[in-house]
Amino acid sequence: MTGDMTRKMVSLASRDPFYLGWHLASYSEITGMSMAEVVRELGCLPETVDSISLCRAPRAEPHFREDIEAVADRFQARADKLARIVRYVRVSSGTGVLLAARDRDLEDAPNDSRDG
Amino acid sequence: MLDLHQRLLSDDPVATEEIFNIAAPDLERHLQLRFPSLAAGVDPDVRTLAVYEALTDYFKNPGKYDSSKSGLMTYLRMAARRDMQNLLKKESRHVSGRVSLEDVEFRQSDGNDISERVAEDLDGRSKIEDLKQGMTSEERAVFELMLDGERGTEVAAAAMSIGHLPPGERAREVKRVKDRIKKRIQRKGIIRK
Repeated sequence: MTGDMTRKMVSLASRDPFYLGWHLASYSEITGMSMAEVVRELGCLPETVDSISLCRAPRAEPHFREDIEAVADRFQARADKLARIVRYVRVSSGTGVLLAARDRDLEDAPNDSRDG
Repeated sequence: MLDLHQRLLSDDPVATEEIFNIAAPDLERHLQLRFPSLAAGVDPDVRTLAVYEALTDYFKNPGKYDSSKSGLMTYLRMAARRDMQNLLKKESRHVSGRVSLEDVEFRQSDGNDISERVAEDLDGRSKIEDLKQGMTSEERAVFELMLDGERGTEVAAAAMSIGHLPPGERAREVKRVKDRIKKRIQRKGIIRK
């Protein structure tokens, strides 16, 4: 993707909790930190934050750690910090409760392990 | 792409980013070709939004894609075209404050939709290709929309690159092209005159 297209996609993804971009943007908004400061906290290269933003947000437990590590490994970010940011935003916005409920429903459903 | 689709199905959170990188530029080029001009006042980023919506819908429901029926890019292009058509309709209503008046050109007196008739009557791709052979590029663009079941004037105008014309003129031009297509279809004996 060109830089311009990537920026537009990241901007759209920052409005949808399905993406990590929404979590990073929300964290920046809630804490008042600039995105550059969020990047420093994540310990990744500034150019990789757009890529992280376009990743699917991690599922709730018991897959949370696995998903966080997959993203952190791929983009050389600090998994502990990424996990903290996502948890912070989910607790602040209440989405953590909803995600946990959704994942519980999926696990209860027979023959259906898909994430909706 | 199939490898990425499998990763998406197995909940790899990085797969979405990789698919964005590979598919988004292709889908935007595809929409640029199919909808080369936009009506005045329509958001110039509407193609990007259609690409985003098509990909996001796929990411959220990857199980809807059936690899035995089509290639993944074909599936995504079709989804992006549909999202684009929906967005253009929405934009059109927003910009002009009116619903498209033209919904009858492709309907016969018996109320049957010609696009459905063509889809039913053309048994196989070769006949469709044969019909398209003699068409101008703008007729082909509108005919493709017709095969998708799309009848909106604004969508056809965008495909014909006449989005810059005033609304009345756009509607007349679209009607003129649709009438020509209808004649071609009738000449093939696919629908009655």
